Amino acid sequence: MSRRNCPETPDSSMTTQEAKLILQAYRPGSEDEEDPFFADALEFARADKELGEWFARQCEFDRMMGSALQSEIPPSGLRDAILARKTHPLVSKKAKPFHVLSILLSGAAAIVLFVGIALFHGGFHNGSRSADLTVAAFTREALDIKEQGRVSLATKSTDPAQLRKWLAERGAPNDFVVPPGLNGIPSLGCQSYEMGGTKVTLICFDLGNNQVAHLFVIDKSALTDASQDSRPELREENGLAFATWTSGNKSYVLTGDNITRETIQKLI
Amino acid sequence: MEDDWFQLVVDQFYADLYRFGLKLSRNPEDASDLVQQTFAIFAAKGDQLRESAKARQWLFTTLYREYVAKYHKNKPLISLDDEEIDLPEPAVESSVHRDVERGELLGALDQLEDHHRAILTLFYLNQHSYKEIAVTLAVPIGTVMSRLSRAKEILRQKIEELSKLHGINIIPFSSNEQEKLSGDS
Repeated sequence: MSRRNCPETPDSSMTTQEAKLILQAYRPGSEDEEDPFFADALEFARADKELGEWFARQCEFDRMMGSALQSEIPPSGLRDAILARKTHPLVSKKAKPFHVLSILLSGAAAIVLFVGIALFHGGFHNGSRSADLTVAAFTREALDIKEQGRVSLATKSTDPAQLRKWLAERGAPNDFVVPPGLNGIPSLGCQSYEMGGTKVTLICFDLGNNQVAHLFVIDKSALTDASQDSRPELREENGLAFATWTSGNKSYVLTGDNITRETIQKLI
Repeated sequence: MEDDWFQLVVDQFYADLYRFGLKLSRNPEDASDLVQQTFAIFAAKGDQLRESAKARQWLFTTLYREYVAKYHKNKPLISLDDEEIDLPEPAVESSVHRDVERGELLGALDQLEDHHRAILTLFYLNQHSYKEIAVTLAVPIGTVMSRLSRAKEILRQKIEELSKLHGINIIPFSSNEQEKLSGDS
């Protein structure tokens, strides 16, 4: 590494390569201008034409990259989602993405859905897409979504009418009947997604004390082997409580985060 | 935490946090998740952070830790060959890619290894001093300097590769062109 031949600079022991190493971390117009760490190298660049030209190119390159990076615009709803989460505390105490309020947030609820529906409808069958969607196909889709690991709460509102409108616009089940225990409890929001080509609705309710109920709704007609039983079945598997039932033309699964069997029982 | 303070901090930093998360994860949804998770932690634990600069440092550090915890549980984020002790040779580039579009620049950045993307993104966000970058990434200042140099060098190589691949002009940058170039957007 060669020493520079520019004796008028403050630190005569600094080489060109050392100066470059320092200068490439310098950002014009920032607090770096007042940082003594850069002073000698800046002085060197002012005194040495070749280094000065290198530094100018460096700054231009950095400016272009900074400008390119600033062109990345956050999603339009991100700010509101962040602020909304401040109002509605974490669904689960686990460190998971905050807006992923679905069963898939913790994975546990997806398992509940899988197990719950399977138990509810009594067995697995080979099914595929909407016209002949079976419990097995339904559960496979649920697992796929679980593997994907992300179903967001797409719209947030405590107004049931607004949620129904949002779901209707997306062709998701919206004429569901909320179980008695959830009447009057504020909703956090909802989401819709497809399972086996069939729209499924998810509505989340804030029960307080870090408890959130997840209600899944699907058209009973979408399931070729749907149960006709309207009486809720309450089960607990692997420490997770859930209830399943059919009412009218809809099938339901109710579960939640940090919810006990007793709580589920009160809600249905 | 007071809503007004929380909202002020969100408005100040969420966009750059998203950019940082996006360059780390290279996925918009993951970036959004990281940002929301970071602010969730801030809402729960950030009461003592009453200064904007401290909040900024804390937020970027937290997002980076969340990213490492989520995406690098089973493998180290840092390549061993990056932790050189000797001074590396700073990049010797002979051109500036004036005509390279932003997408190409960002695409080149995305192709770098995680630890190079992380440091370059923090640097180009232009909010963080080298000392703050060292704290955020939990590395010594010397490593910040050497890693930054190496990352820039590799970035330039990637940009050149992409430029050639896509037939984009690479304009030689000489001292005579400095004034003209400085007026470009």
